[in-house]
Amino acid sequence: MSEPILSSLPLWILLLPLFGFLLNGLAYPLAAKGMGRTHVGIAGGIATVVMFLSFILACMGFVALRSSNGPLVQPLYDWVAISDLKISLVLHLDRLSSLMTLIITGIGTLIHLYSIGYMSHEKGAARFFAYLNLFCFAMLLLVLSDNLLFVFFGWEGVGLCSYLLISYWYSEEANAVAARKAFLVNRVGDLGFVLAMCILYLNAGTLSFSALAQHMAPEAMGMLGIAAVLLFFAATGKSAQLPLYVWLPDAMAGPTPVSALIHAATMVTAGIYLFARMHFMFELFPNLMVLVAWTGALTALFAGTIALVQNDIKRVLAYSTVSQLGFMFLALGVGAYQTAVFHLMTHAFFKALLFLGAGSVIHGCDGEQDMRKMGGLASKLPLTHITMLAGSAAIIGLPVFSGFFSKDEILYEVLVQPRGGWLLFACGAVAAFLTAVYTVRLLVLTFWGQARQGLGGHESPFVMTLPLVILAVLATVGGFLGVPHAWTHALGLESMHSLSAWLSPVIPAAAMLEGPLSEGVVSFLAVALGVAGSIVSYLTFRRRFDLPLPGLRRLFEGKFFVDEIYGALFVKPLYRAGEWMARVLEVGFVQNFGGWLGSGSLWSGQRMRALQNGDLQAFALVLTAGLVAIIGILLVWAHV
Amino acid sequence: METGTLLHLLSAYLFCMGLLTLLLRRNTIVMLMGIELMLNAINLSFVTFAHELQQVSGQLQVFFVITIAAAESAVGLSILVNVYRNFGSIKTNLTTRMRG
Repeated sequence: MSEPILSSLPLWILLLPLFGFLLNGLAYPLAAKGMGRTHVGIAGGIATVVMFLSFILACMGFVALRSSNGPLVQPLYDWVAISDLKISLVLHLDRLSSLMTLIITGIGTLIHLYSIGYMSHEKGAARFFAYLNLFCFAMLLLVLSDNLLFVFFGWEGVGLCSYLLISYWYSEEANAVAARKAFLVNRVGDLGFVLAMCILYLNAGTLSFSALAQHMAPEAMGMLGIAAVLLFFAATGKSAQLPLYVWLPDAMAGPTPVSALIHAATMVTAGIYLFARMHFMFELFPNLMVLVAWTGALTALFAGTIALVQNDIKRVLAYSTVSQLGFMFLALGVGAYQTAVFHLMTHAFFKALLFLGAGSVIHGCDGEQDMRKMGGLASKLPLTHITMLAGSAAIIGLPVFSGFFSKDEILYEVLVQPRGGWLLFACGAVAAFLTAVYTVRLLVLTFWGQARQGLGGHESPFVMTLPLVILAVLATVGGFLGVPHAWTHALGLESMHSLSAWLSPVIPAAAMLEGPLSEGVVSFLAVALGVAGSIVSYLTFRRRFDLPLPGLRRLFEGKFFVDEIYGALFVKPLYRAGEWMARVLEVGFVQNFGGWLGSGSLWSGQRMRALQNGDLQAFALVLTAGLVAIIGILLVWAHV
Repeated sequence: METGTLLHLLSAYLFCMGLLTLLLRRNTIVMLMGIELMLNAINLSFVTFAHELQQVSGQLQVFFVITIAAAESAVGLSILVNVYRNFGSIKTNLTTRMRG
């Protein structure tokens, strides 16, 4: 590989999706004389090809990093350079970024390809693919910057693209409302990000990660603590944790590939990425870490229960995503950063697969998303069914499938790490049980049993099933990147936890400790819970759609009434304040202000006209008076 | 009182008379005469200072002032001829049409 290509690799990985965005967003619609005339095949082809090229470059970066521990650093330009304030755009491809880049471009390519089939009935799909490419650009900027400020640009960029894509079908008001909700809730978290950046800059005088890591001075602990809390708050917004998870389920209003790419595989993991990146700061605050772990555990539980009663196939998966992200935060909280990233990766595989499978089902059922109307689709959508089975096995954590390795590792680390413990472990275990229940419920309602409304005419085309198959393979074997140390140890082999070995130069591995249970027992427990959950779920939902516990069902169906509480606490008062301003301030003040300015000048003009009477001697008099006044002032000045 | 001080006082008196003429008289020719009076008051002041400080530059300045005053009168009077042609009068209170 020649040196120039290697040295500018991060830039090209980043720029290719942007190029695709410009092609699809500007050049192609101009050439086709209107966005509405763009053809899905051409637009999707452009978008997929640029993503695939970007993926190849990402693979080259991966290969380059295999031979060296050091990151590929590419300074681009100094954006701000005012004495001490120096902010440079520096791209930084280290092993963590490389892993994220592979996920974004790899899964991104598959989802772009899939979208060609999924959006085939759309007019003007170039807009869709332009947004998708723009999203990938922003997400890559997020993971490739070495600087919090540019991470923030990416952070906002993905938020914007999320907004644009959720409301892709903007002519329906519900979609626009969902997009607005997602955007606003994210803004609440972003405020934390901005404030945290200000505090960090004031304390360390820099925003680049490597420099920040050396500025974690103990004397500034108080301020740093606030920054850490704010940054965690920002992460809860983007990664849909309590208390800011409410936007993600509504975000399912967007097209399904969007849900797979943005709201399962990549954007929502930005918070976990940021946390892993800034682990040196969070580590200083054990109390905050406990809070993080509990936030994750409770979110995992909470979202898992709500997922039990959802009837929209995508909403089940949405709550499932929230729940799995909770698992990741649980791992981060106990200090097992590598484990969190491991689960991030496997989750990207199997959740993207599940979403795309759900999209295939929806496509086959002509847009129907209500699982109660489906049933018996296994025979009509055989390939989708099999791949969904692989994804479900992975998320439940059946042995050999990827989720088995990552989820067990999380549960094990929660048990053995000092900040973990039995309570957190119990939360995680129950959440794992719930995962099995809602996943099997989804399968039962959708694929098995009797066809209820005769939905589902056709299997999806090749461009949609190919990504499904690839992702199914990844979801099945992806876990072998993280074979538990206990296994290889028991077999007397070298450690085969290749992900841990890969990440260790960037993120330290969690300490290997002896816990109350061995890793094998934890694995067995987790699998037993998964299987038990699956069986319970199968027996329960074989004959009915809803939870046979009416009290709990109402609570879960109301989603613990969080939306209502937020509505009463924040949304309604804000609406009311807005209405008051519209009525009183806007009408009374803002709209009249211009008029007041005008009439004020007119009035004063009328008065001033009297001076301008045309009498030469009046002017001379004023002139003289002015002269006398100036001389007087000067005299007084000289004598004071 | 010294001669110099007396001359300064005379100069200030003449200047004020010229200023009052300019401000109070409506007849433009008389106003021009007021301006001449002020300029000559200044000349007197210049000469007095030149004498007191034993410097020739004050006296030189007077020649400039006289020259400029002559030019000013010529321009001013020719404007007045035109004003009289247009307004039929040279009283300032009757020539306010231009509003400045």
